[in-house]
Amino acid sequence: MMSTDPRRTDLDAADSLTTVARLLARALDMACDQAATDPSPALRFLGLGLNLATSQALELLPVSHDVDELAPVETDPLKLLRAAEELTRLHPIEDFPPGTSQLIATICDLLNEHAP
Amino acid sequence: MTGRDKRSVGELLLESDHTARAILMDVDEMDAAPMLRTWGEVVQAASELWQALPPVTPIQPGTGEHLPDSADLAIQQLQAMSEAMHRTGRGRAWPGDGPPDERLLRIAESFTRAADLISGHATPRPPLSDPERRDLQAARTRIMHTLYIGSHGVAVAVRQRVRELEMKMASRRGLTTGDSLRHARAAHARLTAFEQQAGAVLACTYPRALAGEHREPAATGRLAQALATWDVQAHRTLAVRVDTADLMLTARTQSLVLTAVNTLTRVAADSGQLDRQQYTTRLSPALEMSQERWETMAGLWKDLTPPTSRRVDPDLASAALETRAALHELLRDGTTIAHASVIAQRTDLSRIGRLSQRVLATNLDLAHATHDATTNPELTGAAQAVNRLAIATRWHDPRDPQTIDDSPLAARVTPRDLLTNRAVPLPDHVRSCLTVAADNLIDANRTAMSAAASLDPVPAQDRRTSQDGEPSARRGRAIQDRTLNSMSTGRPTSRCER
Repeated sequence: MMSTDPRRTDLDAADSLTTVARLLARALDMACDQAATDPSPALRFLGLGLNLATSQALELLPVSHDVDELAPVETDPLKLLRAAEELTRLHPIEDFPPGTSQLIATICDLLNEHAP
Repeated sequence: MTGRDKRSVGELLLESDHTARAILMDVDEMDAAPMLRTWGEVVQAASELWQALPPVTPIQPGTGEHLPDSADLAIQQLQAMSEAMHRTGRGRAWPGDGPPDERLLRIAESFTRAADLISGHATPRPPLSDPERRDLQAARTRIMHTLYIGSHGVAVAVRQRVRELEMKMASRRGLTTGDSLRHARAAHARLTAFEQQAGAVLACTYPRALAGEHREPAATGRLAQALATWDVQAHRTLAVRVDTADLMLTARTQSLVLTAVNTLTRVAADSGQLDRQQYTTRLSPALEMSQERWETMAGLWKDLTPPTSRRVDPDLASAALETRAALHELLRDGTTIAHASVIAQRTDLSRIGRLSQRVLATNLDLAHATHDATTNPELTGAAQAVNRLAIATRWHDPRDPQTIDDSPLAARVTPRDLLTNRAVPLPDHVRSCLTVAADNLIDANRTAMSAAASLDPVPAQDRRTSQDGEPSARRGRAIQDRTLNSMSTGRPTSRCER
């Protein structure tokens, strides 16, 4: 059953957004680790794409938010990216701060590029 | 005689060009320090004059604005390169403060006077007639040519100084205070990159721009514009703040750009547009090394970025996003890299050689900007990474009495800082480690630029012969016979500065 308290919904969306940023930051770190030993151009595209997506997500969060706390244990960047995308579906877009739709489009583009 | 300058804009530009040529002829009068001191003023004045000229591109429907063309972007890049070089030299004993070079100062004054004349007669700009448009293109070409010749003159003077310092050191005489071989070599490398960038613009546009009908194919046009915008923005961002997140994004974007350049030049070489042997033996290994070094820098910056400081400059992110998108459009096909034949259909491969030369020239300058960041006292790093690097570097330094002590306290990072992983100042050991990595980056990028400079486009006749499976006389030419253009004379070859 959905909550009718708007403040509660906003809080959930904010928490989800923090987790999305956390997942993206972890995916970025994992992609970078892989790129250190694999010269594949595809990994370079993914790494830079994740870097920019993480940056976009952080812009939506309060300053000095630490997204490295409680880092997920998953190491596959694409699984982490997919988890981030699934998390954005939990809330209506209007519950997220302005600019989130661009972030979601970036995440979906990355998934289409690397794991359709 | 009133003493008032009555020369026209055309006459001022012509004199500037002649003065730049004259500098090259008076080799004995070349003094690197005053020339280097004054060069930034010349570029600044040239850039302002360029901005004062009417735009050459048509008005965009809807916005009423003019989009910059490739030469507009190039002058912005040259301005950014010059400013970065000026910042690097600030505060150093050489070239330091002192008198300017009078000839270069005259060029700067002529440019400024020409800009004033144009601005003083500014009127609403109707569509230009054909003769006006040709005159405008000639003025732009004249400005770019003056910068090209002028940068070569300053580079020759700096090269002379490098030789003097090398001879001093070889004869075991100590260098006097303020003499730095490393700084002189770095200045020379950056001027060479500047010269190549200006030369590439002239080589690409001069005859076609005069014809007034040339239009770049869409895909390469977007990529060239994205790369130019990226270069300018990266310089701007690194100039106003030193931030490991920005440096990480810069390094990662450069790594992708070099990977893409390698793919594009390989396709161009395979299709006979570029010399395949040159690509295989010189350019490809150099690009791989350069790309690896950017990746190493990206890894270092990633480790040094505190968790709470991962945000990047939005303008830098925007430029990186467009660069990635432009590269993606050319190189990707679904989830994989596109086949060579598909890439060939998407772009004009005959332009890839020139594009690569420009990218690698600006790439070297960004490597220098990265090096400057490592020496900036405001640079900080995440406490945990700083601690790890401090211990690792001490461990390899037998002179350090604390070599065997790998406790966190020995690295001068407090436990509280370690716990929160906040940004802390860099100990000298760690800064040295970063500077060495940046030195390696510069070396690799200098080699890549040098390799690209000798990359000859294969003439159409030779391409046809090659595709018929018969050897070509020109393709068999010795490597040492190949030069990019006449201005290469006297330019250092790969690794000659080491």
